Amino acid sequence: MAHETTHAHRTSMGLDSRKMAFWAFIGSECLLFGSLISTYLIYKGRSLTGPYPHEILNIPFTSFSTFDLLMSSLAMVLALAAVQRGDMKQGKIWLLVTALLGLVFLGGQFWEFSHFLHEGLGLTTNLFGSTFYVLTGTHGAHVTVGVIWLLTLWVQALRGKLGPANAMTVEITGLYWHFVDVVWIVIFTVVYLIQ
Amino acid sequence: MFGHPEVYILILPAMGIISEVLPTFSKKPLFGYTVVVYSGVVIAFLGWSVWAHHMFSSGLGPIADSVFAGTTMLIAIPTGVKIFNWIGTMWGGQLRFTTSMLFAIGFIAMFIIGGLSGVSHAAAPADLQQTDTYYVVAHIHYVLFGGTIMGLFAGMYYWWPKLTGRMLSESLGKVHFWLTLIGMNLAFFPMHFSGLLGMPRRIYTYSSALGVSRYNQLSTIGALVIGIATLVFFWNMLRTRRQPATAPHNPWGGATLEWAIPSPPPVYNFTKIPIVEGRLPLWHTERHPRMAPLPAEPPEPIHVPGGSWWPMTAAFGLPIMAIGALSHMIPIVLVGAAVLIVGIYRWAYEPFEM
Repeated sequence: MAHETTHAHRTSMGLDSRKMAFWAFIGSECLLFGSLISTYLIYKGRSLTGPYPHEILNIPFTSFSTFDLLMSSLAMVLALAAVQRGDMKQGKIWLLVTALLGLVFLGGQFWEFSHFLHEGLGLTTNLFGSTFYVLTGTHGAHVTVGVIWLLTLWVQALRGKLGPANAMTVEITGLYWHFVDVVWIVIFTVVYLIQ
Repeated sequence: MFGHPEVYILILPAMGIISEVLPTFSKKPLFGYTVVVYSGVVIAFLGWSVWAHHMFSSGLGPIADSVFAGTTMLIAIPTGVKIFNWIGTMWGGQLRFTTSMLFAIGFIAMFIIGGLSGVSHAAAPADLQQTDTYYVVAHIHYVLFGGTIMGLFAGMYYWWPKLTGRMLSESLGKVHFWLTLIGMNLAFFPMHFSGLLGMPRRIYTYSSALGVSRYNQLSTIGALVIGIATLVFFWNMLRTRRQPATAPHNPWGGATLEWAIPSPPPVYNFTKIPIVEGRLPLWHTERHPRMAPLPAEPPEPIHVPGGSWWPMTAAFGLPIMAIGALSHMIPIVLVGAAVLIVGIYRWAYEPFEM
């Protein structure tokens, strides 16, 4: 990884080819989440049995999770800025903070899922259960991947293998992280706020 | 929703292959290159808008039926444009009937037959009669076997020397082609008749009173002929293993860049990045001079990444996961997922130099 980034490919587009490829990946992710969100909307209000969304969704708790994820995006911005100016001490701190805030979000989702299961909402209980778990679960899987990615960068930074020369790696991680964050804003609005 | 874009995904690469093969063996550039490319894009796009034509008999209602009948018929236009351009490519060219070229021409002929029965499915009232009969089976085999598989065979004969440095036997290849063509028509053409007479698909037995026994007998013989033809192809592939890798750079006189480098290509492909001034860099015209020859040895050391087991590991995890999910065994899903994740992670963070 370190070797690659020091020999970044020059392209005629004036854009790093890895960044270009990553935007294409984000495009395909938009299609994935777009189809899951549409599925949720199509089956909304069509559950024949409970529990129904308004009975168990906990908006104050999820608002806290959302705030936590938004703050992790802020930490990501600070991490990238620190790495770009070569301040690896700050860079390490903010990478770890971003990953930890992601873990807090995942912990919240774990608590939420186990609470819902306790209330009797399983994956196959009703249409709400199926569409809700698949949509938020896919998002949670993305956050998990992001946390693993951030922790890997943090470990690389601890070993001194991450510096301003690898800023593009951190920038692409940031693109992913902000994307996952934006998707959550949409999910939070569609699933929790507009009931 | 999945099924129909998928068949276009299957056919588009084969269309690309024969768009490479036909110009080489016609000694002419692809006729209407831009239109062929944009037709491919239009097919890829329209392919998403036709899927409900698999569900005409499920009672979608007249409006949905009409819309999907319309989109399905519409997709025949870019496909027809491509067919005419391929024929236009051959028109007036210096044709060389190598095995690869025969398969490419076979593709065009068979795909036209499959395309015509396809348009007859697109008409929803007619399709109600055809649903779940051998008529549909005949159609899919003309487009998928006569189309995709023949296109892939054309590509195999065309690029085999580039892949392995060894030529496939042309005489065995011609036996393979003719047996395939005869076998597939023997197997799939009678299905049009047996299907319209009421032979249902996905059923292993039927009443002799249906009057389709003769047609089914022909299909069985045809299937055996296809099997024999494919064995000939396997033998053709296997026997090249014993030959020395002596294929020239450009055995077919092709115009595209892969023929500028040795067969099989060295691990670093190009000794230096060639300057390409036209679409057919190895053919020269008044406007495009001959491409500068590449140096035999790289002018400076080329950095080549080492081999890696991690992509294989990731690919190994995926089927384990799928088998677990299909057999409802969560622990196996988790094991497969773990193998997959570890494979991808190690692959992503592998050192570039090994």
